[in-house]
Order: sequence, then structure tokens, then C-alpha cells
Amino acid sequence: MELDRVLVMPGDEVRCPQGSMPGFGTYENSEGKIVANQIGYPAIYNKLVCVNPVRGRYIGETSNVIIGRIAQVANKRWKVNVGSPQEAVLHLSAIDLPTGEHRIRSEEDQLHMREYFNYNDLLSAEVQSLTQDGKSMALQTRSNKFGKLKNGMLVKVSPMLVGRMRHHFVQISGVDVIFGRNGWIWVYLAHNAEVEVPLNVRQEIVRVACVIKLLNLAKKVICAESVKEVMDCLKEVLIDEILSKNSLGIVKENAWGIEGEV
Amino acid sequence: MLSEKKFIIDGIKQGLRCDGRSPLVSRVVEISQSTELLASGSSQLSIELSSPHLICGIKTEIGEKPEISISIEMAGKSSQQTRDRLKEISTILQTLLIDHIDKSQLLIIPDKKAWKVFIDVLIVDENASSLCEQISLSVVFALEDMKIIGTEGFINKNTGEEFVQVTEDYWKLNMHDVPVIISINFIEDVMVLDLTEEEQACVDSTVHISIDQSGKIRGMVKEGHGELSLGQIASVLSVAKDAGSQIFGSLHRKIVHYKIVST
Repeated sequence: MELDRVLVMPGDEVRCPQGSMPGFGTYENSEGKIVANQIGYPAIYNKLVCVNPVRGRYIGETSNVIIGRIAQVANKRWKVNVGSPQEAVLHLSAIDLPTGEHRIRSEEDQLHMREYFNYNDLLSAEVQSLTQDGKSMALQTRSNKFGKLKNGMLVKVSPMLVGRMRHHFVQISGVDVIFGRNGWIWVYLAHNAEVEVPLNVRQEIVRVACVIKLLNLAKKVICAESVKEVMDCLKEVLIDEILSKNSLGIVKENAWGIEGEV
Repeated sequence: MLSEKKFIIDGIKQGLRCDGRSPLVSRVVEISQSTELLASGSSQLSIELSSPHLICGIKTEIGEKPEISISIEMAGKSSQQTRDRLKEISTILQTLLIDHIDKSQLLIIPDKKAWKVFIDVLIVDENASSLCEQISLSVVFALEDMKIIGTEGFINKNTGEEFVQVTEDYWKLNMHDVPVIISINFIEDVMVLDLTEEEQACVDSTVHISIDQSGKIRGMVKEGHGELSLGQIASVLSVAKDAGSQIFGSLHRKIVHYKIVST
């Protein structure tokens, strides 16, 4: 629940009911008042007062679905770039083997690591755990919905606009979309192999991707519903004119704002 | 970029790029002039729906020989690779753009005193792409904006000393023969204009062509691997001429957007 629709600065007191506790983005000062430590909109969950940042980089949370790019193939693990100040690591033991068998990973598997994920490959994964100090996160792809991404394009948006949603793997006008909580969104044609995407599907992929870019520019919440709604609004717009000031105006008028935004 | 490479290349072959454009259509570029107060001339370039891409400022001083030099920098931290790339770009710009500007206008006293022009380009967006073309546009606009203080030079006949006297007016550079650069890229033998960052990773070769207002080709530089057939060069030239006339046609509106209908 949002408190009041005001932007707070670091050091500002967050006005909240008696007995609230300081949560993410806040701290209790010496006078016992709850004070913001980042720019954002205050919100209260049960008794926990938080400040949702207006902008910033992604901070991992357990069980988040995210999209990353392999930055390094290391010893028994991959380092993954997820656009976060934290380090993301995918252990060899945290992936599904292509054969589907469950066993302890051998040295043989280590030699085949580049066949599973190579440098620069994109993948979807889930945050399995965070280290105690919060400096790095461990990822896992132990499910057939996670893994290497193909037949599509990546759109990077502000992670603050991608909230927690019931389904992060959704279908919008015939194409599949993965909403990564880290602000990386993958729009693709679901297919087991890497294929040439037919033109009519590609048009839809490009449309969905452009709509997501527009929502990001308009600073609106990005989720399956908002994308569908804007897709409907921009039905008539030609595909080569979709990324323009005109359609940005339409998006600003029609989509809903971010939680707590004035 | 490996994951998306096939998708991008297939899209270009099918004639639909990831932002909805066809291969031979540019993005809309908006330019504003006189953005920096302390520069003799300046321009700021941004692509529609994004923050400023490039800032270009020009400063002038009096030296012995007329000279125009360009330096390109990236805002923030840049890797060695980026700095090397910027160096390559500045050599291309030097041969294709700066060398074609008539430097005799900058003379005050022949062989003794002349204006030196320093062009500084700052790349603000670290993901900026299609740099050669856009830097050339920002330079052209900054040069067009540049005001040089009026001067008169005298030589004392007895002592041989030179004097430069500042007059109250200022003058502008003759822009008639200043060219712009058009970069035409080949991705699997398809001609593509105005690349985005992702597409840049899929390019086989690039031809930079400098073209002036009258449609004359001033120079041509090829980068990348692979060879071009004579037929391809002919089509590159026709695309460049078409794009060039559209660019010069839209310069006065401070918005540059061109599309080539057929080749």
C-alpha cells in the first residue's frame, strides 16, 4: 500500500502510522523517526515502511525471474551480467543437463560448459539465493522454462518499472515475452531450435518490443496488461512509425502510471 | 551479441529491423545549435525519443597557419578498445570532412597569421551508434553556427612586425563546400543505413561516403572485411547521392531523417 503520493529525498521523514518499522530504503534515526535514505515513493507493507526508488539498478531478490548475459565462463560456474551492482553466478550444478539426467557433475561436464552456455549467450534464470553480505547472487536454471534464449530480441528498461507479477512468462498477441525483474525483457518466438522467424511473427515481436520501449520512455508500469492495453491503442499505427513522439504521447495518455507517482 | 545475431540478420534480410524500420531508412535526428555559451560555435544532436547523443563545440584562436583539427572523446570511462575506435573515426572524419573545407578563408595575413579552429566532440551516450555519420552532422551544424571575430591584419613595412586588429563584427564560414558523411553498411550483402548498437555487431563492412551540397562525391573510405563488387559500389553511390540530397534538403529544419525508396 502506498502512503502518500509524495516524493521523499534522503533524510526526509516518512510520515507513517505509529508502530511502523523501517524497511528497505529507510532507517530509524536517533529520535525514533523513520527517515528515507533514497529518493523514492514511500509505501507500507503490513508494518514495514519502505521507499520504492524512482530509479536505480537492479538489486537481486530470491525467486526473481531475471534475464542475463554470460560474461565469463569460469571454473564450474558462469559469471552472468544482469545489469546489477551485485555479481551473479550460475553454478554448473544449478543447471539442467541437456540429457535431463540428475547426477553429480563430473569433470566431463566441466569440459562441455561452453556447449551449455557460451560467452555472450543470453539466458533466463531465477535468483536462487543471495550471499550473506548481499554482494552476489546465485542463479539457477533448473526448470525447462529457464535456459538459453533464442529467436527473439532483448529490450532493456528501467528495473523499477518491472514489478513482481504472477506470471513472468506470458504470451502477448501471439508472441512470447519474458519479463526479467532486472529490467531486461525478452520478446521471442517460442521454438526449440534456432529458426528463421517468419515475417508476420517478427512484425508482432517488433511491435511488442517497441511498445515496451515506449512504456519505458513514458515511465509507466511494464506488465502483460499494460503492454496489451497499449498494443490495442497503437493497433492502427504503422510498424515503421510506432517508435515516434506521436505514439509516445498516446502511451502517456493511456497507460497507467507507476505506483505512487504524482 | 551472439544470441540475437541470427534474429537481427534474418530481420534485415526480410526488410524489418528491430525498431520497425526498413534497412534503408534512418532514425530521426534532432539538432540544436548554440548550446554551449562559451564556444564559438556548438551543436547538440539527439535521436528522437532519447537523450542527447553528441555535443560538439568549436573554439578558435590565432596562430601562424590556418588549421582545423578534430578531437573526439567519450564521456565517462572508456575502454582502450573504444579509444582506438574513436581514433579511427577521427582519421576518417579528417580525410572525408575536414580536409574538404576551404582553409584559405581562415587566413588573416598570408603565411603569418591565421585562425586555428579546434573542433571538440563529446559522445554523451555510451551506446551511441552510427558515429561517423552523426559526428559529421554535428560538426557541420557547429561549423554553420560558428562565429569568428572579424580581424584586419597589417604589416609594419619598416620593422616587418605583424599586427592583428579586432573589428566589431564577426563573420561565418562559407558552408557551401562542406560535405556530410553517409555510412552505408553491408550485412550479408544487404545495404543498411543508420545502424543501432545491436546491429553494429553484425556488420560485415561499412563504406563511408562524403558528399556535398551539389551532390558531388568527395571521398570514400571502406572499413571491415570482404570485398565489394563494382555493381555494389555503383548502388552504394546512388544510395549516398539520394541520402545526401535528402539530408541537405532537411538541414534547415534542424531535423534529419531520410529514406531511400528503391535502389
